[in-house]
Amino acid sequence: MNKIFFIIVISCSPNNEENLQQSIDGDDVKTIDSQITSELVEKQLKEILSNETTNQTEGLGIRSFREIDATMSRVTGVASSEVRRTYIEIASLLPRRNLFDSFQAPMQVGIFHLASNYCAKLMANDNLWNAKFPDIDRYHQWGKIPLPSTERRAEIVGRMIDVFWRQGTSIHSDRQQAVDEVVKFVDAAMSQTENPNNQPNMGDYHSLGLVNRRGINVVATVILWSCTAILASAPMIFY
Amino acid sequence: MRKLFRHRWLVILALLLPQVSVGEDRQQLLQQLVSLIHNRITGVPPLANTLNSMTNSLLAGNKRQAIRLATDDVGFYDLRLRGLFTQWSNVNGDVGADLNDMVATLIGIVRDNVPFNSALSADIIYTAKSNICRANPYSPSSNNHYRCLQDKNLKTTLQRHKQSTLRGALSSSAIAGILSTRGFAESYYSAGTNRRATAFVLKHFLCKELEILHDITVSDGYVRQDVDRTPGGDANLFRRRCVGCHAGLDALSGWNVRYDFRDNRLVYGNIVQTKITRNNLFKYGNVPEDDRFLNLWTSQQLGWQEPLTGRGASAWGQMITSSRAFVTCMAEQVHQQVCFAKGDRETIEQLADSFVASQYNMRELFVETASTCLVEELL
Repeated sequence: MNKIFFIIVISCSPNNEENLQQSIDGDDVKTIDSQITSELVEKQLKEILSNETTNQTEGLGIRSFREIDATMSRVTGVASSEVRRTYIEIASLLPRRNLFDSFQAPMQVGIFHLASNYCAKLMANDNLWNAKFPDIDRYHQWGKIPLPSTERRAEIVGRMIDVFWRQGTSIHSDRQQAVDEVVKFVDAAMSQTENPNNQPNMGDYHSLGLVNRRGINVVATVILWSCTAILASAPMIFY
Repeated sequence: MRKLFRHRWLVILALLLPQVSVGEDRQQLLQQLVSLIHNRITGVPPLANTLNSMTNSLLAGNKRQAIRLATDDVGFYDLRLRGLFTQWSNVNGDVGADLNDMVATLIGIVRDNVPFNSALSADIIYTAKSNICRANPYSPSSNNHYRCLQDKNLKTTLQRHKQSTLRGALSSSAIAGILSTRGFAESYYSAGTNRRATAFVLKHFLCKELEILHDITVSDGYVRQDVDRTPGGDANLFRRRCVGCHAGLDALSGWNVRYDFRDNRLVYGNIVQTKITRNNLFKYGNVPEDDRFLNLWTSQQLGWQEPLTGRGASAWGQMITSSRAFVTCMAEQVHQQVCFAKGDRETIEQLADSFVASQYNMRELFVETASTCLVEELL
């Protein structure tokens, strides 16, 4: 099977402590550091491109900036207008053309940023959320609750992959491999979230309901990261 | 084999198809194929009911009907067509440029199955329906109407009109499809000598850059006064290089000498615009007196049809779209859009034939192309 199926566009290095920084203020999830989002995929893309001549990438395409926005809107059910401000801000970071060869690592940052906004809006909308994930309770566990078990994390991720990718891709990746990849990413993200050095940013979670006086809503945060990772993944972006 | 390898994702699917039992697995794989087709045609994944309808059509052996369903999706208009036509609408080929009347008109022509070969000559334009963007009504001197429209659903909001009936309409002799739209004028008639309007049409509608058409054997009798015959003091440079483009281009460009873009609007004069004749670097050069054009690039293998001379933009547009190069160019561009690959000569010629047979129906060209590169290789 072609490796491209297995690429998760967002990926991370668990040791990349200083760079994971998420801030959420009102409408926007603002900063996702590029180093976190680019290392693995850049390596994988280089491998693919070094092994295959340019004309062999014919037949592969990447969604353009408008298509990425419309696709995320369609699979989440969130209206494009709800993330309009972010979209305008980062549109120049997104791919302009459908040519696979035009994909560049910095585009992942824009894609990830947009995905996180769509996920935040999806989570904030009870009707949309319950229609897609009625079995995932995203807000009701507060305080110092440990991370959901690995099995539960994989279950959440798998459920999201099924919902988003069923519509969004023509050919599924190896599902289990994708689940494992996303769970690893979420684990790394969560380890950063719990890092005391990131405390100044914790307040930003408040507006999204990810944190209250009892502490961070671990489940909601896991869900946000999972959703973002899947929405920004290669099967959603390449076709 | 190489062709199959190009679509290796699909080949993997094809290999899997016979091995899975008839039932859910096969249904799922078919749905994945349908999803791919839909994504390529529209830029977005299918809605659940569309996915099912397309899959059922495919199962029933009706490939083209399955693909046609994808062209009903709003993404086909808002994303795929808009992306393609927006590239054509500005000098830089920027796909992120604002929607304008040129792009909206091309999208409307496709939506309404208007023969696409009329795009450069017909009395046609699309605006928003009367209940949309009322605060920004159509204006010949502003693009605000289309800026307002660009975030709306272009499949349902566009309304067809005759250019000649709109407020501030040009005289009938000026009207020529997108060639007489404000958006086209802003990009290609502002300043300069309008030659880039000709070059643009050749590039996007015949897929021929000037460098390809370059021919120093053509008579230089129509090269205008504003072309230096001794650039840098070297007459040979003109003979060896400059004349290769200007001989054909200047003869061909007479159609647009009465157009200009001034004061934010398209201007059409009864006489040749002064900007065309302002510069005189060679007094024996040609001075256009009216909007006659003459096609001297007939030795090029472009499949021209008579007449190769005429007056005005509409006649010129008809000459362009009646050429074989026009239909093959449309086939090439749609193939690139849908298949993300350059089609081989045989495939492109077949698609071009089907485009002509469908009365230049651009929607059907997308359907036929998807059928060729996405479905027929698999099923």
